[in-house]
Amino acid sequence: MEQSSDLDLIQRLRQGDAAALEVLMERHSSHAYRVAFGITGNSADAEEAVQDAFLTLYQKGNTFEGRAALSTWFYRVVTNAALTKRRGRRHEVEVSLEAQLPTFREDGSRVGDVSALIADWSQNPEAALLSRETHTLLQRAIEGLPDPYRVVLLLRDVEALTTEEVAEIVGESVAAVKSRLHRARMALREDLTRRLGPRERGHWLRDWRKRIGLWKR
Amino acid sequence: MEALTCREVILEFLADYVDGTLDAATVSELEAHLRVCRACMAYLNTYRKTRDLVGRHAAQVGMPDEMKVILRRVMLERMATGRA
Repeated sequence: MEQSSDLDLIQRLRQGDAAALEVLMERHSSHAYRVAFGITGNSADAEEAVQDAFLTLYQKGNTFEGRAALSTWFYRVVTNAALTKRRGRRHEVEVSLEAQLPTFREDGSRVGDVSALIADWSQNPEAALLSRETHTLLQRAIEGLPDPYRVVLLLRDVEALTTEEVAEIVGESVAAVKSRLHRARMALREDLTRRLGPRERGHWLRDWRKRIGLWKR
Repeated sequence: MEALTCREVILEFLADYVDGTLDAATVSELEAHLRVCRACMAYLNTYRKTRDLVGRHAAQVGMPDEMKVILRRVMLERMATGRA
């Protein structure tokens, strides 16, 4: 059964075969949940989206004809189910990307303070990069991306699908997928830089004063 | 051939460079720029790290076992009614 093709498993699922369900869940539920959680931002909606997607697999699995990989077809079903859950409340968290993209002068050079531009936090200790604070920041930043950007980011950089597969899933051109992915990454890089890069000068002085205050006490 | 500007490096070629899908000639031009531009080098490093952190961050998300139990039950109930 573990070796069976997805097409074969879906046919058996539709005949009520519980063992086929088990193998399909084993293969696809974790990926589905991760994508749904990434899109909806909460476990309750993600759970419902995954259930919806599996019910769709049972009810409409006959429309999957095995031409593409099931994962591509199923990712599309999961993505749509998750977006449906999110609809209606996305305005609460979504932000515009424009303010988070790098800016340039007429001659093509970067705008900004040189010391900030050359600051490279990628060399920070792993512990800082993987801290709870960074994790929370990243979670919020991803949730704040507009839907089309977040979906592409999740499918490419988390699920590691190819650009072509993502284009097929979201029904956009390869060029559009590439552009969205790049802008999403640049926006998240900006959020992380604000947290992990050098702080503005005033902060150091304030921190220093705070410490002196603590020592005196 | 004119040297690439920071704008071209970052907006046009960086994503393909990081994903390994940039043509060899442009890779040489881009790397020539990176050798003399600390700002773009820092941008590249932090951009690449951002991509890695996103992947590692999300890899921690797993479907809770109790949700799998519920999913299995919902599916088996539906399958028992035979309404495919």
